[in-house]
Parts: sequence; structure tokens; C-alpha cells
Amino acid sequence: MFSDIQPPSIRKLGDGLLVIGGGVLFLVLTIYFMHFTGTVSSIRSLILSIVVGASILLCGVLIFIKAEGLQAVSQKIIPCYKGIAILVLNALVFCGGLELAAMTGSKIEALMSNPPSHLVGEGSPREKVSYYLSQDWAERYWYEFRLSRKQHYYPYVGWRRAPFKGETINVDQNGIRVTPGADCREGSFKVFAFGESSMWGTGSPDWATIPANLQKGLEKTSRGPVCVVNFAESAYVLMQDIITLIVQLQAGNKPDLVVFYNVEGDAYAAYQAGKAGVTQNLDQMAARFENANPPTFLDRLKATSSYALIDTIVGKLTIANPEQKPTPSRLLTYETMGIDLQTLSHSLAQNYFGEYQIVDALSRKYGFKFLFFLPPHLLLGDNKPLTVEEQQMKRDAESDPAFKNLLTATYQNIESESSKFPNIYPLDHVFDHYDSLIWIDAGHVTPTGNEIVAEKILAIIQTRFHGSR
Amino acid sequence: MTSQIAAVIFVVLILTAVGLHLPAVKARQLVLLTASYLFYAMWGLEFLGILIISSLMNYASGCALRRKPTAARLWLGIALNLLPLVFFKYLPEVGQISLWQTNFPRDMIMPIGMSFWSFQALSYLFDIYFEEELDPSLLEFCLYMAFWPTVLSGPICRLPSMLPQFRQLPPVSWENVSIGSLRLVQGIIMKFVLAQILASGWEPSGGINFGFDRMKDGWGAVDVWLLGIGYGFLLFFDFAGYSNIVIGTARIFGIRLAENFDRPFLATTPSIFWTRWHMSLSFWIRDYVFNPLAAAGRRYTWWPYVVLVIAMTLFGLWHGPRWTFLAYGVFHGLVLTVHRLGQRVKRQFSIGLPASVGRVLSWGATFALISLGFVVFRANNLLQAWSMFRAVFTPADYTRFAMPHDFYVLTLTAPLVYFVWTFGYSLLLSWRASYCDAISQPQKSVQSSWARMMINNCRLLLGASVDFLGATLWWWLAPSLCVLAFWVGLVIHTQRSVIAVTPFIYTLF
Repeated sequence: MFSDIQPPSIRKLGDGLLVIGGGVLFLVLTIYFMHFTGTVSSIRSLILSIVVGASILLCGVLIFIKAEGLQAVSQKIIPCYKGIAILVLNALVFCGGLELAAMTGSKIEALMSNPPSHLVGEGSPREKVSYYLSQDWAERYWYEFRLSRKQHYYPYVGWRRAPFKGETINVDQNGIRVTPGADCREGSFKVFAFGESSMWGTGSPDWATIPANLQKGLEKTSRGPVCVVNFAESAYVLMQDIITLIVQLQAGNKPDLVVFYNVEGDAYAAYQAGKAGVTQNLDQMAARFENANPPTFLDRLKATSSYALIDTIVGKLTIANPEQKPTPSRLLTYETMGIDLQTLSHSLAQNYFGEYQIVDALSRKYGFKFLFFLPPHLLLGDNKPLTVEEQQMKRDAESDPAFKNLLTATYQNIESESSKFPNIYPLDHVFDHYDSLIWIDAGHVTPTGNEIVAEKILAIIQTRFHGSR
Repeated sequence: MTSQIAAVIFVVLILTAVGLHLPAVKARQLVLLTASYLFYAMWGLEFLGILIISSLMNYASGCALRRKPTAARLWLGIALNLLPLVFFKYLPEVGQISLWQTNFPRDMIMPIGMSFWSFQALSYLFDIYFEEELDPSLLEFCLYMAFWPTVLSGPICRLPSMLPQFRQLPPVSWENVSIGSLRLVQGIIMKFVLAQILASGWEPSGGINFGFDRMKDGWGAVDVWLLGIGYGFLLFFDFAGYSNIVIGTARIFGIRLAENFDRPFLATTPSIFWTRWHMSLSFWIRDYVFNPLAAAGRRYTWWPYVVLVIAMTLFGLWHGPRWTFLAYGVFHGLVLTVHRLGQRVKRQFSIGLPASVGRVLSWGATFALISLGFVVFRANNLLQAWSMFRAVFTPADYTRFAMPHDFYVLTLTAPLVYFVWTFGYSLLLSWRASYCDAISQPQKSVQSSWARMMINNCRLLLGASVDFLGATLWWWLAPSLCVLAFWVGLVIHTQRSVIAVTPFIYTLF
């Protein structure tokens, strides 16, 4: 084929093809690795590019063999193999050395920069809300809040907090946040408080949660001992509250009054899953149960100390660049799934009423009273004059209007039919006309906010059940 | 970086690598020119058009000058280069302060690298006028103007050193790839790690840019000194890093470019500093502005000083039409003048200081002056420069510290690392040389103290280690770089963003 071409020319041609083929392969792999969009639009074009590159490379090798002679080339194979082996071995040694150095470095850094426990926190914006600047318990609280977030598996409901003992947060052996002053001896007036994180008391120490305020208020008006139990848990939906109640009834722990304070949990779960009547983070829980997402090779790489080190360095090198904007990850929500807002909010409201009826039936069977409250939310109700901080929180919360729209529509649906359900009380206007800072984020309030909510609940209890105890 | 840019760079690299294997020199030059034009076209086809027109005009001017080297023809050639430069570089700035009715001058964008390749063209015309034997073909001249590693931000090349290389264009060799890649890696680290950290700081608000851009007033004297020193090192890491990248890339393809920096912060006098800092421009100014002008008025003893100030002012203004650049040029012109006058005084009145003490004092004074010069260069306006200078000369301001703690750590660490590295590297090389001498000429054992013998042996051992690491450089450097590149790539990939580092400072000039 190349007999009419002189060997040096053949060799140069082979060299050229080797360079081009290698270059194409390198380009393709780099583009794939760096995930440049556009050039590699599909897996088919990627494979095609690899085939083209490999073919050119092969041609180069064949021409090279033709020019040099098979024997000469074969003699080069062993040194080449040795060279590649040394390079690979050195790369592995360097990888190991880097990992060891990064691990040692992070250990030393952790030892040297071990901050006083009161300074450790989540670092989320709500910790920096001005309200906490004047509270001497605040730093300690957020530190304990972070530590207390460990969850345990609980039958039927999925999760509850692990037992925790702190200065501002205490969770008992059953995963229930302690209500200071609760006197649960035989014959006490038992109130079960259900809800999600706002009822649990995110942002407030044990003595300033809604149940703690109810405890104090009821103690004043009640003649005997009062026992308010905080069964609320972060990210719970109403059905988890009801299941918890059923479990308590099954165990013979019968309340006198049950207070439900939850809608946002259900709305958020529906916002994530695109359907009503599910728990929050359904996809993740299902994946874990079905073992659908075992850690990938990439996950394992990301868990190494080397990755953490390089990530920190790259982060430091790019942090001050104002032009760098992180690519927003596209959230999977009911809206992105193409689910109709009105249908979903209607379904949420119907579920809510269904759950009301279950509790109603249980109350008649077991002889307790119950109240359903629709909690306030920063995205609802516009009669509270917002402080500058609250305005910023609202803007942040409104960054994805899908949740606001769903929550608003659900409240409207529930409130429009609430006249048929005498124990439902909307509290979405409870902070109207309070001009001081109440919100710490879109769904949680300061201890002052909890006090206002508890006062309102107490007033309703007084009105509805005056003289019952 | 978009996929298109990545693809073009790969095509340019492959074209160059393959083109250099072609048998005919003309064909190699043509492929290299095609690659260069392709590379430059990434920044805009209209820019490429301007570069081609400029190349053709300058080639024609050169031919005319070669036929008859008259001053009129030279001035015409100078005008043909300076007018477009003034039009694109200075007119938009003038347009901002003038009462022009249209946005025309403000909206103009200077072709990238124009300041560099225009000066290359001018040097060619001057060289011909001064009767240098230069006979480039049109292809060679166009390649000289557009050579892709240098076309964006220099270094400013000279045709007498480039032409013989363009006429050889050797195929890619392992030696060149090794040396060039090392420079490339060095440059990448200097720019993307060291300069970036200095510019942005290890923590937000701890960087040099914060000190100049965000702070409006209230600097302490130490703050200003450290900002000047820090910016000097930032500029050095940025531009010397860029130069290393360019020189390394060209070397990979067998082209040796002139150095642009030579340990400038070790200069013991301002004159020496200017033979080590942005050498391609300072030598250009020396050869084509200072020397001819100084020669023109050699009868007057004061004339060289005036020319010095003029030349340095031109040096400052080359960076752009800003008062701070003008002040920077004048400042260095005056510093050089004072230095020369000082040398004259020193010769007349011999001052009896030990040489080493004198050198250290001279180095300290030079370092301080060039650092102050960087304050003027970087200041956002003359008012800011004045305010910062006032702090330096106000004793009470030496007790005021307005910058965050990280800033002081960073700006003190950068020079320290630089000096330790510079001296450490020289020391390692000297140990290596001792070791090589020892093994090439084994000496008979000489009676010496035990301690001395130990020190010598340690030095030889270290020299042997350095020699071994040097000899097996790519066996450990290549895998290390691959591993680092892998991790950095992975981080960027998982962050789904591109590293948006600050642009090369000299691409702005």
C-alpha cells in the first residue's frame, strides 16, 4: 500500500496520525470528563468520536509498525510497558500520599481549630437573626440544635429524634421533647401537642416552645396538675401525628385534649412528591428502602479527604469572584412534574378533612377533645408589618413561587370549607399588627412568636372548653 | 471556557504539532500561521482582520524602508502603527470625558494584544531603519506578528531573534516538550494559584483587590506598604506566570522566546530592576526610545535625565490612558534619575560602607521604591494614590491597621515564600553542581574535621537527591500533575461550574 513512499515519509505520516488520533481521544475524554455541554450532545456522538480517534490512532500505529518494522516495534513494547508501569505506580503512590496528607491535615486542623462548643452552629441565616443577639442562650441553643438533629427509626412514623440532654434542648428516651414543668402523674390534665418543627420548637429553647407556653398557661387556669406532651417532630405530616396518637391510645395513654398544629408539613411533602398524603422526602426514603441508590464510584471519590482538600482550595480560589454564579440545580417539584396546582391543593384539603374525621372518630371512641389549628406562615397573611430582616426572609422564601402558590391554595381550600368542621381554627393572621421581629425563617418564629400563638390557642381552649377542667 | 474554545485550542495544538512534521519549511510556516490566525479569530473575526491589515501594511512599510531607509518613511510607518493604537486604546477613554454626541468612541473595543503586536511591528521598522539585515518573506512576517503563543499579551518579540527560528521550525522533540512543559506548569501555578490567592485573598476581604477596590479611605501606613508589596507580587505572579505559560508553550514547539522576568525583586538598584521586570517592553523602550533620544542630545549633561523621564512616562502610558499610569511612569523616571545622580555623587565622594551592607541597603531602598510605585500603578485614581501616599508619610498612621488579619498574613507570606524559594532553589542547584563535580572528578581524601566532613557529606547527599529528582523529573511530576488535574477536574465537574479566575492582568493593556 505504501510501497511507493519512502520510509521517513511513512514514519512522519504515522507520527502525524498518532498525534491526531491521540489528540482526538484526549479531547473527547476531556470534554466528557469536564461535562462541557454542546460538543458531546449524545452518547452516540461520544462513541462515534472515540471510534474515529481510535481508528486514526490505529492507522498511526500500523504505519509506525510498517516504517519501523515489527521487530523494532516489538522491542519497544517492554520498555514502554515498564515506563507506563512506573508512571501508574507513581500516580498511585502520589494518590495515596495526597490522601494521607489531606487526612492528616484535616485531623490537625480539626484539633487546632476546635472552636469552643458554644460557637459551633449550623451557620444557617436563621441563627443570625437579630433577635438572638440579645439572648444569652442563643449560641448554646443553636449548638445543641445541631447536635440534637440525630434521628432514630421509629415504627409506623419513620423517624423521631434520638434522646438528647442539653441545657436548652432535652429529648427523652421516646424521642419526645421535654416540656418543662409538665406533671404527668395519674389524674393530671393531659394535653398532647402534635405538629412539625414549628410545634416542636425550632428556634426556641425547651422553656419557650408552644407546648411549654401552653403548659404555663394551663397551669394558671387549671386546678390540678397539667401535663402537656410535645409529640411534634420535624418534617412530620398530619398522618404521622395521627399515627403517633393512635400508638399512644393503643398503649393506654389517653389524653384529655389533643392539639394539631400542622399544614405546612403536608403541603411541603406534596410540593416534593406531586401528590397528597405522603411523607416528606418520600423519594429518598423509598430509594434507601429499595436500595435503589447505592453509593456510586463518584460518591466514594467525593467522600475522600483528597476531594475535600482540593474542593476547599478550588473554593478559596474562586470565592471572591463576583462573576461566578453557581448553576442552580433544578428542583423536582409538583410544578416540574406538570401537576396542576388546583388539583393538588384540593387533594391536600380533602386529605386534611379526612384526617380530621379520623381524629373526630377517635375522640368519640376514647373520650378526648381535640382542636386543629392552621399555623401561620410568612408567605401567608400580609397584615403583619415586616421588619427589614423579615422582608429579606420573605424574598428568599419566594424564590420558588411553586411552594407559596401551593400553600396559599391549600389554606384557601381548607378555610373555605372549615365552617363544616367546628374544631378547625386558622391562625394565619395571628401575628397581624405585631411590628416587632417574629419570624426567623418562613415557617419558624422566635420564642415571642410561640408565646403569641400559645396565647391564642389557650384563648380558644378557654372559650371552647371552659369549665371542663 | 466554552466547548468551542476548548475545541479550537486543541485544533491549534494538533495543527502546530502535526504542521511541524511537514517536510517543507514553507508548509510548516503556513500551517503555523493558519493555527495562529485560527487561535486569534477566537476573540473576533474583525480583530483578525485588523491584525492581517496591520501585518500587510507593516510589511509594505518594511519593504519601502529597506529600499530607501529615510526618516519620512520611518515616520509614516510609525504613524501607521500608532494611529490605530491611539484610535483603539486611547480614544475610547477620551470619549468618556469629552462631549461627543455619540457613543462611538466609548463602544470601541481594542483588538486583544494590539499593544504588543503593534510594538513588535514598530521594532521591525526601527531595526530596518537602523540597517539591520532583515529580509522576511510576507509569510514569515505575518507569522511573526500573529505567532499564537505571543499574540495575546507578548512577550514583545524581535524579528532578528524570531526569523532564524521560523526558518528552521524543528519537529517536536522530547527535550523541548520537557523544558516547555515545566515552564508551562510553573506558569499555571504562578497564575492560577499564587496570583489568584493574592488577588482574592484566602478569606473574603483578605486580598489585594479588596484593599484597593473596596476600601475608600482609612488605610494605615503598614496597610499601604503591604498593599504595594502584595500588588507587586500579584502582578509578578500574574504576568510572569503568563510569560512562563507563553514561553513554555512556544518551547514545546521548539521556539525559544526571550525572557520577560528575571528575579526582579532581588534587584539592588532601580536600574537593575528595569533590566529584570517586563524585560521585553523595558528593553524595547531602551532600544527604540531612550537610546536614540539620548544620543540626539548627548552634548547636554542634563538631557539623558530628561529622556529617562520621557521614556518611563511612555512606559507608563503604554499600559493605557490613565493618570495613574502616567504618574507611575513619571515616578519611575524620577527614581531612575535620582539613582543616576546618586551614583555620580557616590563616585565623587567615596562612602566607606562595607559592600554587603551597601548592597542590602540599596536592595531595601529599591524594594521600597518599586513597592510604592505599584501603589500608584494599581490605585483606582490619583486621589486614592495620593491618599495612600499620605498615609505612608504620616508617622501617626503607622499605628493604624485597617485591613483584616488574613491580609497581613497573606501579604507577608507571599514575599517570604518567594525569597525562600528563590534562595532555596539556588542552594539546591549549587548542591547538585557540587555533587556532579564530586562524581566527575573524585578527589583524594583530605584530612578535615569530623564536623566538616559530615556537612560535606550531607551536602553531597542532598545534591545527589536533587540530581536524582532532576534526572527522573517526569517520572514523578507527570503522574503527580495527572492526579492533581484529575481531582481539580472532578471538583469542577461536581460543582457544575467553571473556575472563574480573575483575567490575566496584562490582557487588559
